[in-house]
Amino acid sequence: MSVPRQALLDPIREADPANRYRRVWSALTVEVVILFGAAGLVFILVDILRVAPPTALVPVLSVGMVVLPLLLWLLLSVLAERRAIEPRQRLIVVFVITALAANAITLPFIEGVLQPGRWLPLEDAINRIIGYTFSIGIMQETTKYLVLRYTIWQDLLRIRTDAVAYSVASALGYAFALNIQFLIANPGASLDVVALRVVENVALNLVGALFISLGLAETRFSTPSPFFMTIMLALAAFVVGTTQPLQSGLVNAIFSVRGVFDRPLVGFGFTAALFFGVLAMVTFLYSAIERRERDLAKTKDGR
Amino acid sequence: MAVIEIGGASQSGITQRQRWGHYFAVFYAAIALLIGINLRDSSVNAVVAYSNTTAGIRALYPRGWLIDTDGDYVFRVRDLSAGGYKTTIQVAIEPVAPTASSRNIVDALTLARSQRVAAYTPLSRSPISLSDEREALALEYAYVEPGDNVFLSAIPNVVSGLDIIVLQRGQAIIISFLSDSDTYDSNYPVFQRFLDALVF
Repeated sequence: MSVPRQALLDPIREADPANRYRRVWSALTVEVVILFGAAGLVFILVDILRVAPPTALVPVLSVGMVVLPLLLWLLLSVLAERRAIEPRQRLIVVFVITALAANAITLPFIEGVLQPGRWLPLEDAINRIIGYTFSIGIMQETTKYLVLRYTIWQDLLRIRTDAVAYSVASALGYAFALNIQFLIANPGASLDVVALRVVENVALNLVGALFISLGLAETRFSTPSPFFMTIMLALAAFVVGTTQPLQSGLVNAIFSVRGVFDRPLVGFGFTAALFFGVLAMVTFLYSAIERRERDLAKTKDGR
Repeated sequence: MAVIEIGGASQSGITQRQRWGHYFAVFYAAIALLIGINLRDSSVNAVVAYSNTTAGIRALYPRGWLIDTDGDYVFRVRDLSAGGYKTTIQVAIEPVAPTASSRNIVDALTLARSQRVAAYTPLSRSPISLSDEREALALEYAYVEPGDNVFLSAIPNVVSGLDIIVLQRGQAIIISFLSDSDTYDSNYPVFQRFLDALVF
């Protein structure tokens, strides 16, 4: 059995629980910032500077764009786990199971049975939000929740941020399946469109997964109301359901007497604001909960 | 709601509170999914009433379809959101001689359409009973629709059609359903619902 080197060389470092596990929040932020940066760069090159990549190279670059979130996660999260004293063991398993479940069950069910594209685009704003929440939103978030609940929740959650790390893996798995399907359905899509779609799918899945992680962590480590996980699931589905029509409304071209104007940057900015807003909120909630627990523990020790 | 933990952690290491938390989440997901399916059904099957007292026709056509009453028919509704050929349901009334049979109407329709549309091909004709037990004749056919814009490089649509012909009071009521042949089967239930609700 291999023993992590740090455990032998640096016992003081090992004693601090914060150093025994890989830091999740910073890695997640860096991954998403790089992803947004790459998509922004592609958009500037293709859409603003009109740099046209060779036609034969576009499919390869599109595949690269779809694989980029996965590569970033492997490099900055999965490989980094190897350097941690107590690494998280099942990140790739969660990623693969979620991607397979999404591809084999959830996405075919959404397209074949719920068929949101057939009825929701024609509805008014409120009905679209409700419709997307109870179709795409609930299916997407329930898939992630069930995978996490029955793979890692019981045995592999040791600290709260484990829930975040595994939820990120699950979100990336789902987004990967979505992005692959988009690429197969739209082989002729231009590179900037693929880049924006990849960012939207990844960011939206991560937003939902952050709420799911909070529900799983609290249910595991605290004694919240039995409805807490349900509320988090409903909240995640609602955010997805609200974002879908808002995003398409912001991205779609507007018609005016001067012509037709597309505004993909508005949708891109909205996605970024949504992701970093939810990230800041969930990080704050996690830190507040942990601080409260530390205070409680100190109070108990004082007695 | 307050939940009192009696047994604490069970043998599997899950407390009653955690177990109920997961049950509630799964139960909510199932209920939400049922709500989603119900919303879809009520939206997809939503209809708008149409009434023409002159022709003596009342119908319920799918919501969101465009109605048109200006042609040589009583009314026509089209699904403009459909890809390819726009799915169409049309009701027309033709005066006929008292001695005319459904077969005469079919022959007249075949002759007229073979001159008007490309590659018109009758596929089958068969007697059917409508939901109110009235006898009718069903005529299936197909033709090629070249599209509106001759400058667009696109393969023409193959249109599958179904006419339901009913003779009554010296008139032939022709209820037509036209759809892109690729989506004919999936669109057919819409026509079936329309036909079941049609009063004439």
